[in-house]
Amino acid sequence: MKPLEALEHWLQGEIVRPHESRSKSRAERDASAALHVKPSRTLSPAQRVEIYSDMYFERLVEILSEEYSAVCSLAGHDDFRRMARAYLREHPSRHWSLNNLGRKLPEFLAGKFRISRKALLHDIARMECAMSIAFDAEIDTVLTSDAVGRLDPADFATQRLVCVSGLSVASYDHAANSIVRAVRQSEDLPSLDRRRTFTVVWRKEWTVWRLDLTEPMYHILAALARGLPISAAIAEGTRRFHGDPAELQAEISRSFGEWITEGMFASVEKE
Amino acid sequence: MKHTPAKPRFDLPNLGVGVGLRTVHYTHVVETLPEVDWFEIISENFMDVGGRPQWILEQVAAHYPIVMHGVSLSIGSVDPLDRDYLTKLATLAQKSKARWVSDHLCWTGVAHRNLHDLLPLPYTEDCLRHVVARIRQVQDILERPLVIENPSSYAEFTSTTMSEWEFLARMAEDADCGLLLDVNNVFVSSFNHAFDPYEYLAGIPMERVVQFHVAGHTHKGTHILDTHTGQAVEEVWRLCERACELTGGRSLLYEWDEDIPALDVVVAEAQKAHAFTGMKRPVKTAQRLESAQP
Repeated sequence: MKPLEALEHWLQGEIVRPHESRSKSRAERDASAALHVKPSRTLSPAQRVEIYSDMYFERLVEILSEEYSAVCSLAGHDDFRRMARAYLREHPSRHWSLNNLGRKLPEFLAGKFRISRKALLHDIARMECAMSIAFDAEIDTVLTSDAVGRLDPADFATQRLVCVSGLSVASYDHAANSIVRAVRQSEDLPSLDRRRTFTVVWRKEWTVWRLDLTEPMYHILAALARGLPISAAIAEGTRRFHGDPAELQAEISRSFGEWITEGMFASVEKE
Repeated sequence: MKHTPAKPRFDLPNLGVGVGLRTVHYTHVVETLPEVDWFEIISENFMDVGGRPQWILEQVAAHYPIVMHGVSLSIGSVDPLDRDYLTKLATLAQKSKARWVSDHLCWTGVAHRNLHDLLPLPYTEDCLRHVVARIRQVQDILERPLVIENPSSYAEFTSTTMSEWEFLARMAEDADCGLLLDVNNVFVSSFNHAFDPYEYLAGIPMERVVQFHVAGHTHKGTHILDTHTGQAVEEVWRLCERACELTGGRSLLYEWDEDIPALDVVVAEAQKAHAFTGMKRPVKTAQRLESAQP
């Protein structure tokens, strides 16, 4: 290994090691640092390296806590930092953009890491991740009510409504939307008990929105987001509805109207 | 001592006094078009993102000259240059009509990791050859001179064989690149590594300086951190004054990245440059609109 390469590997190792594995003893750190770094008037070589090491972890934890502010609040300061340390050990940043740093946190929370309220934190992380993805999504043109009004229902079997970039439709095992809102707006928390909920997250102009859905409407919108034609998507919702068909018809009409008005679709495609 | 200002090596304009375009000011900037000569953007904040940042950049670039300042080029890393990053950087430069593109003399990670920090390099012959070769490659891809900023640092390597200013001077000459002289970084490093900041300025080839950075810092007693917060101390403005004497003035940017106040406060701090350096006042909006066209 050439001298520059060896030095960069050494310094990177010293910066991340305290956060990723058992730290060396003070004497070991001093001896290692003294080989590569000069002392200053006031700091030993190891203390100078620690400035970089401390800043490394604080910077990344701050980014994760901003993106996952509700997870951070529900987990508490110490547990969030413990989780962040374990997450960064498993998923160190390998990209120049920090936007992707926290994208695997929901997946990480679904794994073996132990933390209290794990299922709740996993749900909340999924929602906050969806919000970040929607925020960073490309700008789309939005399908207008007039354009949709011109569609012929006879073509619904072959027409697909393409959702705007970054839209996510998901089911949760907790009242994730209400919990995220309460935490982010410093309101009283709703029940944290398990309860199945359905929410769509999307961006309209520059604001990320969240809208709770009923179960049949969730299945319709999720099917549209998967690329199913309009008729097939509606059938997905109809199968899950066991009440008055007229009531369902009214809900479908009202929901499509709302989804179109709220800018959830970018275009219509024909199969 | 009177000095004949250095004739600029590159045909790049003196844009006056600018500030960084930061998220908290987006709405204010596009709605009020404040009296600012130019904006510097953090390149990575506008790469690989859609939505509002993309729209904001289009609006701002239509009214102000834009300069791109990156933090992820990692010019000193022994990892290969990231071609995908460079392609996106070049595309952004074209799209934003950037007057120039800068980054730091540093590395950000090795073995395909990114620590998202501006890490120090050893000032050795070996490192100099490595950095010069990479700057040349980047310039070939960008098809324009790269502008490299002197870093602030907290560690100095035992293997270093030359001063930072000697390294920068030789690097700029050998790679034929521009320099972004951050006078706060000079001050911070001069405290941390106990050198004379005026000797540093005297060693910089001022004809290659394209831009200045001025910023606040945080004094920790044992060392100074380059935090880009608050007002710059008078010693930093005095260094800036000296750098202006040596260059005859260059585009100046005030950096404020922590606890960012209202834009008016940042602009007021930036405009201290007029008092310290005798730089020109901001141009009028109409002129600015005109000068935003490349």
